[in-house]
Amino acid sequence: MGGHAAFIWPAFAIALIVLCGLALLSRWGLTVAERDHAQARREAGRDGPRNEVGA
Amino acid sequence: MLHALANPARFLRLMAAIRPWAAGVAVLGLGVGLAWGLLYSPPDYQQGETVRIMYIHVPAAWMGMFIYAAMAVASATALIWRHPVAELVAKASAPAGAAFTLICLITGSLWGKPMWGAWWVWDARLTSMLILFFLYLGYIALWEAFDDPARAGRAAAILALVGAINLPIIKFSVDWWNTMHQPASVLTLEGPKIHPDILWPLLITAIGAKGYYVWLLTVRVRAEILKRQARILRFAAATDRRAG
Repeated sequence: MGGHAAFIWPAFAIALIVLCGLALLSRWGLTVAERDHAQARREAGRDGPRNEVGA
Repeated sequence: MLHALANPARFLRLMAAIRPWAAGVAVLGLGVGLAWGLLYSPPDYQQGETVRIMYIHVPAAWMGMFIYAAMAVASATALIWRHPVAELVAKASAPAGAAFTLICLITGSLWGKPMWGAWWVWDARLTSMLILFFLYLGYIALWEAFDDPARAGRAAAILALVGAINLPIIKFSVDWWNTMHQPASVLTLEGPKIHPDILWPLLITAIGAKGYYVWLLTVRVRAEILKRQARILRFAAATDRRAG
C-alpha cells in the first residue's frame, strides 16, 4: 500500500481495540454479575444444596 | 411475541441459544470483511488507498444509527407496555452504540486529514454524528444518575425517544445542507452507486458488526437481569430478617 496509507493501520487498530475492549469488559461484567447473583441466592437461602455446602 | 419475551427466564434462554451464532457471525463477518477491505479490495480512483478506512468508518456509522434506532424502539416498548426486558435491551445497547459512533468519528477524522486537509470540520453530518455520540453518553450517564432503577429507566427512555429526532437529521444532513461530506452512495432509492469490489467487503463487515452487537446484547442483557435478580433477592432477605 502506498500513497495516503499512513492512517489506515491506526484506523483499523483503534476500531479493533475499542470493539475487543468493550467485548472483554462486557464479558467480565457478566462474570461479576453471575458471581454476585450466586452470592445473593446464598444470602437469601434460595440456593438449597449449594447453601448447605457453603454454610 | 412481545409478552412472551417479557419473561426474563424465557428471554435468557433465547439469548443463550442466539449467543454462539451471533459470535460466529461477528468473527466471520468482521474477519472476512476487514481482511478483504484491507488487503484485497482495489484502491479508489480518487481516494487511493485511504478508501480502506471506509470499510470501518461506514459500517460503524450505520451501526451507530441502527443501535440508536433499536434503543428508541426498545425504550418506547418499555414506556408504553412497561416491558421489563425492553428497558434492559435499551440500556445494554447504549455502550455498543457509543463505541461504534466513537469509531465512526475517529476513523472519519483519520480519513479527513489526508482527503480534506483537516481532522475536523463543523459540517452538518459530522456535527450531527457528534451529537449522537453525546446522546449515547447522556443516556448512559442518566442511568447512573438515579438510585431508583425505575426512575432512571423512565428518564433514560424519554431521552432516547427525544434523541431519535437526530437520526433523520444525520441521514438527510447531506441533502438538506451544503456539506463537505459526500452524499449517500449505498442506501439510496436507486440502489448502491459504488463498485461491487468495494460494496461486498463493506456489506460483509456490516453484517459482522450486526453479529457483534447481537452478541454484546446477549451478554449485557444477561448481566443486567442477574443484577436485578440479585437486588430483589437481597431486598427479600432483608425483609425476611426484619420480619423474623
